[in-house]
Amino acid sequence: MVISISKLTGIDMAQSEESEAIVHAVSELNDDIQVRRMPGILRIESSTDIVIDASVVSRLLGREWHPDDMNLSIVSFFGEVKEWDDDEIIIGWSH
Amino acid sequence: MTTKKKLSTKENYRAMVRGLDWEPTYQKHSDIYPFHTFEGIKIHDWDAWEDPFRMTIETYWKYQAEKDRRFYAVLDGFTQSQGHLNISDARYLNALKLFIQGVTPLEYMAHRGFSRLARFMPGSAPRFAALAQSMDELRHAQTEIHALSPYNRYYEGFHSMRLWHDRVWYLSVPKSFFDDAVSSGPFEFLTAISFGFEYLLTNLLFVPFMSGASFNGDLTTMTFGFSAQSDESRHMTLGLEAVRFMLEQDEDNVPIVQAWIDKWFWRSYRVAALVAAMMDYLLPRKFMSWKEAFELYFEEQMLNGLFPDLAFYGIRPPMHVEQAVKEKEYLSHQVYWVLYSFSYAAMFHTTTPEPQELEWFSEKYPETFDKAFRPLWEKASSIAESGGRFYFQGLPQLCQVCQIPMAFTEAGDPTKHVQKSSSYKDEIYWTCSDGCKWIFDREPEKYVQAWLPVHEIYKGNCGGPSVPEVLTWYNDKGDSGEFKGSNDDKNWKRWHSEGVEL
Repeated sequence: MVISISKLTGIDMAQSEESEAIVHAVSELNDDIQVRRMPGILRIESSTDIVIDASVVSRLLGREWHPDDMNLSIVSFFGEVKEWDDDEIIIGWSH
Repeated sequence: MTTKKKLSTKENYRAMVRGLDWEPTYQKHSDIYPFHTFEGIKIHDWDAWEDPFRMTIETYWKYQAEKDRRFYAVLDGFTQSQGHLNISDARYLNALKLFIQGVTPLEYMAHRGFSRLARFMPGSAPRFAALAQSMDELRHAQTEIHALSPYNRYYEGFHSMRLWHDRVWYLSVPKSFFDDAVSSGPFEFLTAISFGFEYLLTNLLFVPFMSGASFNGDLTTMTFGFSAQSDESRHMTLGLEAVRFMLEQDEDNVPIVQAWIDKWFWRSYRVAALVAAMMDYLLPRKFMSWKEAFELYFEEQMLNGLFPDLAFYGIRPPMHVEQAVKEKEYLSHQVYWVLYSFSYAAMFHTTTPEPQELEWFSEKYPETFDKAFRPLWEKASSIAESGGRFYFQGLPQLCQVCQIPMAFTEAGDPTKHVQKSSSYKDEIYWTCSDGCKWIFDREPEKYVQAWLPVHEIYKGNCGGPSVPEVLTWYNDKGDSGEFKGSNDDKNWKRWHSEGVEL
């Protein structure tokens, strides 16, 4: 059995410039982010909620990025989509 | 005059999805939606169903069209640049054959299953989510066939995928799994496919294919994989929301949902056994063992993440999960040994692992490989070196539930075979594990109807009683058997030689 100290939440994304910017944006707001790289895949994990702030991603990309654009990067996630609106996406566990 | 601000995502979803639903007046509600009560699930408020993605049809088309544009641009580039020349080795193609024969037809069945939910679920939110998923699944089936079609021009094992899915013995494993799901009620189907298959095990099923493709130079598979998988986050959300919704609506739903989770975890996990064999044995360049993938995607994400969360509702981890955890040490080896032993009738090629692969297995499976599996491969290799080929003589007994040959062993002991049996109406039925036996005993009237390929061959329903007759019925054009010396092996050398016309 794999032992984790706390339960993790995470997102897998296809490796791309846009996904790199998302990872960078998440890391700016959360010190706890772990980044794993697998063939073709960028994976972030955290023991707290993962917040993707659209304005930060837009700033890093140098163009407007809407949370719905995440549809083109996301491969998988674990946790629950707590928020997905015009400003941000939040993924984490509720209980 | 003031210009009205554009609607926010939430307002747009409220207006363009939920707001388009209406209460029927000239037909009875129960006549329009007749299927959602017989399973015993109690729903009091369909409006409480949340779709966190807040997808509207407009957003859906916009992003799906962009995904398809990206995918087809890559596919064109792949074809134009003779992308088939860039894969690691022809042995790799066998992973793709297993995929197009076993998985792609399930995408099409999922399209049909979700169309049914899109028509018959009483709530507008699940109906729309099911409609989107139904279209996704059709897109997946189509893009997978397109993505792999360039290989059909140069290699075997791709030409009759639909026929094989209906006829060939190992493909009855995924086929019967999905038939089991679509022949259940709408809530069980959601728990089976959206939750059990998509949420619990999707990463184990699809991420290894994509990363395997990425690591083995297969641009087209990697691209369809990412394109399809990008829809998957919506499907997972539907699965989790469906389960959470049922649990929140009525306490009486909890034991029903728990039993479905128990059943469909084990059913999905047994289908994943084919992926285990694929990951460890069919990828010439390996990136992760089945055991490592199981630990990362199942134990870490699901057992340590999801199930502590669901404990809030009184849901515990699936029954028999401890068996799956123990099996991670030997599952892939046992399943590939079966595929190797019966390869004379499988529509892809198998061969013995190379010496460096044996070393990799010893390193990844220190507890079991050298003790239980290395001797098998060394024996098979020595038979091959003297010009022979080990094949199992005769046909295997199949598990009545998962339909995998009865090759599994007792939990924690890779040398002791399991054979469980149940009696039903004076007949004996065999199962491969406690998990499959429990599933059989819960609904024997369903599983006694299984179309078991080996029984059907012996009954004379598969072209005739002999192996050559069965292979003719399978439309085998040299697709089966040993890889070394096969047409794939020869074609690989041919396409990679100088001066060849492609």
